[in-house]
Amino acid sequence: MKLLKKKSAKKSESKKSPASNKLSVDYIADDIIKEGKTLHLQAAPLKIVANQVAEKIVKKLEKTDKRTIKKSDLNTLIAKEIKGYSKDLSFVYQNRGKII
Amino acid sequence: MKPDMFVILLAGLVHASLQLGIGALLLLYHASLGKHVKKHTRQLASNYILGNVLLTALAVAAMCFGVDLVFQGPMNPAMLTIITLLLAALAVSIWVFYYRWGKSTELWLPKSIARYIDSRAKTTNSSTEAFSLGMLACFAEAPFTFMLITVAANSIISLPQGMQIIYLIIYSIISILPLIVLRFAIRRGDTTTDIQRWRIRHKNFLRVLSGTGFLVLGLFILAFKVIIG
Repeated sequence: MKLLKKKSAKKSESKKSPASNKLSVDYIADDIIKEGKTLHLQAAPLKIVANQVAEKIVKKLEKTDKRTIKKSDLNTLIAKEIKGYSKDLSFVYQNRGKII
Repeated sequence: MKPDMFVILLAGLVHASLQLGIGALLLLYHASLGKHVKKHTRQLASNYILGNVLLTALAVAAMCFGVDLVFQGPMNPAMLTIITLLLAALAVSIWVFYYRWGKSTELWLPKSIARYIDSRAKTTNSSTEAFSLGMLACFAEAPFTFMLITVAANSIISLPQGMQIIYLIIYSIISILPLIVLRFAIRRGDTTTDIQRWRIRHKNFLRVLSGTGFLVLGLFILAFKVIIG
């Protein structure tokens, strides 16, 4: 799976087009931090956990042959990885797009 | 208390048991917590509720005018019988497909509409947008609320003129009671996970409650407005 460097990852985010989002550690970590904020989790430990989880996920994805991943699959993967750190955050990822 | 008053109260309660309004408010709450301070989040929630209640009140008022215009007063027993049958059909729909099956609170809405509401909730930053989102959520629930609003409107125009506006307001307020409860939960500091966990845990109870509410309302109308009335 092709990953973007930090600068280009930020560029793709600024376009705000979901189709153009390429997976990187920063992209996943930022997303986890954003979700963590909604649960009032402390910023410093959240950042560390987010980076650890994001790195694990990117490594896992690199091992697979797939060039793309569905958002729902990515959410499930994040939910599974983050469960050890925060059950609430894991629950948020499990229920993404399933509230209505 | 006249049967018409009971019909209005019961229709309001059944309306309140529907879940789209709560789901959209929860999405708005969740999205706003990550972006704004709590005060702004509460402000957005209040405006969302205002939009929802205003559209409900306007829809009931418009339906009162429509029923009065078409039937020259309250509906006749034949029409009420048809409405009873439709309410029974809606009860079955609620039991069978209002909620999607599985461990989530996904509703019957087509995915594209659900995604649109989700994206609107995420991009809502101002009070006006929150107000519009409240109206949108109220409108999207129309296939299920239409009959409730019709029944309530029919009962409202059967009441003496002084009571009509009061019962219109009562219906509108009852229909948004769960949103007000959720607003207080936000004030208390409950997180979206707490609320969503509760919704998932009691999903089947809510399904039975809503469906039975539709059925009871239909039977009540059949008994007190068609047979006795």
